[in-house]
Amino acid sequence: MHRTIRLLAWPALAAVLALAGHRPPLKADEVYRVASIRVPERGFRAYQPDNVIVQFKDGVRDRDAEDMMREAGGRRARRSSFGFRYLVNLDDGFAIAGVLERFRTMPGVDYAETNGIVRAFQQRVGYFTPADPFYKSQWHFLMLDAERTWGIQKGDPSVVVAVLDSGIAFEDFGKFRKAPDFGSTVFVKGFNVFTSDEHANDDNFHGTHVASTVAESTDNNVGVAGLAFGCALMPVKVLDSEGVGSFFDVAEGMDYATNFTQNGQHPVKVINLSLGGDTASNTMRQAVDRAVGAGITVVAAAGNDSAGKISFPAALSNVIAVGAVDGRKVKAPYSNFGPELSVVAPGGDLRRDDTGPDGVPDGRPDGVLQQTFDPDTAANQGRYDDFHYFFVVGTSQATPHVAAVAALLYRQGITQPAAVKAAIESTAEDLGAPGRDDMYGHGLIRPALALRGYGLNE
Amino acid sequence: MTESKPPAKAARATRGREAAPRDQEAKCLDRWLAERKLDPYGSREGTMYAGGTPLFDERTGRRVDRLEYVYKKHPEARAACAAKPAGR
Repeated sequence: MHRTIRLLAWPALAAVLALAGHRPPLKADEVYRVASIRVPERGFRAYQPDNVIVQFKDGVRDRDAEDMMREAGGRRARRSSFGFRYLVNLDDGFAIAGVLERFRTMPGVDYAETNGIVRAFQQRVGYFTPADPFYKSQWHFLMLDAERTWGIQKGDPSVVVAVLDSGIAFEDFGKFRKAPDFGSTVFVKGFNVFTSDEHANDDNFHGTHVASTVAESTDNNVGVAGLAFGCALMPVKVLDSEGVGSFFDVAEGMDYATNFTQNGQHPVKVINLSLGGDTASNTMRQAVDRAVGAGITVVAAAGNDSAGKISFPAALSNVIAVGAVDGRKVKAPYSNFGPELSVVAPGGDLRRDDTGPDGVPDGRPDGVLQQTFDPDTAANQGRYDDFHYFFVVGTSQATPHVAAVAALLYRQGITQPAAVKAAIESTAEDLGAPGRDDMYGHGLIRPALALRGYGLNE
Repeated sequence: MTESKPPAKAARATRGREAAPRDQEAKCLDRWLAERKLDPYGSREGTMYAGGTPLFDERTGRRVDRLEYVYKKHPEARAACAAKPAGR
């Protein structure tokens, strides 16, 4: 039988804390519309928001323990039947972080910690369902049958995806902060072409969002998932804070990724280019040839001009050119098209709401949902720590889905870029006109089919 | 299912008159950009953009008009190519 004690409230302090802006935590589905949509990161708690566990040291009197719990912000508490341990329910206005801090300064307290949420494992055989609380809102992963994909392959850090973009929020360095949902993601040494050092931090937002689709930390009870979450990321900054770069810069980044060695190996197997330009370039063409010649698959965005012209370098024949579809598997209005288009992947359309958890429209626009920092906070306040989950659309967002599948294929044992491209194209779901067409290329990627067809786990 | 009717002859003619100056303006701008070795967005040739274009905002899904985008960067291009109202 549980023993529950009631602790007296401390209304005065609670009122002060309330006035000081201590609000109850936001719920996971409290999203709101700004320029795009963002979900407050703190909404994704992996623990009970209104109680904590406290263990007292032997010898502490019950009355003293009750005083300490009251002083720390407890309203009532339930004592364990098996130890000097309490589940302390907090009074209104008390934030968990502050309560834990107070407990930890008290000499009679052995430890104090959050009351983590435990879920029963209900994995279907051959499928893997991650515990990330907002994963079900990643319609783009549901569309690609991601759970079946992960049942076959989750990736491995021996396979590295180089994300050539505006950088990634991968480290605490100067004014930059590591994104909270990269907690277990493995990063290898990156490169910043503007500063010629390894600090390829994102000062735009774009690169972090793109990289998150590839390998955001997954099944960690935080936020959302990444499609090749077991693989490692290499941050390579080739675009500036405006999202602009040059052929020279991108070629430099490609050569860095191509030549990178670790323990005598060349771990970079995929280069993601969610970028492009309007004109061709020998510098870029040769950098792509060197990468592909070194066994690296290059995946690039078809472009967002709604035009019948594929961006460069996606237009190169040895690159996988990726277009975008919306939540209905219909070509996104912005997505470029043409004879060089290889496949399409979810890129979304913020003007539509065709999807949501379990395929039911959820009142939110259909963008690709991933973490990044708020670029407005960065621009206005110079802060790169305002992380949220944003719905963003574009062929930039479609591209990392394909890069992730390429990475998983490498982990399955495919070693040649041409074979990776063939696996992805030949297993795509035919959309639009029968057979390959310029609007959808070979169709919508089907990761599980590509892995099952070519994998070692068959 | 509703079937959209083809536009009336008069309407087609009006749209044609509106489109023609716009096309001419775009051609003028493309010439202006090429003479200065600039890309279609008014940046140096060889410029790369997130998503392949500066005209589409991936955060909002909104697009800006290319001519207006270039004119904002290069006001002198507007002076050279912007269509003048009829009768002036």
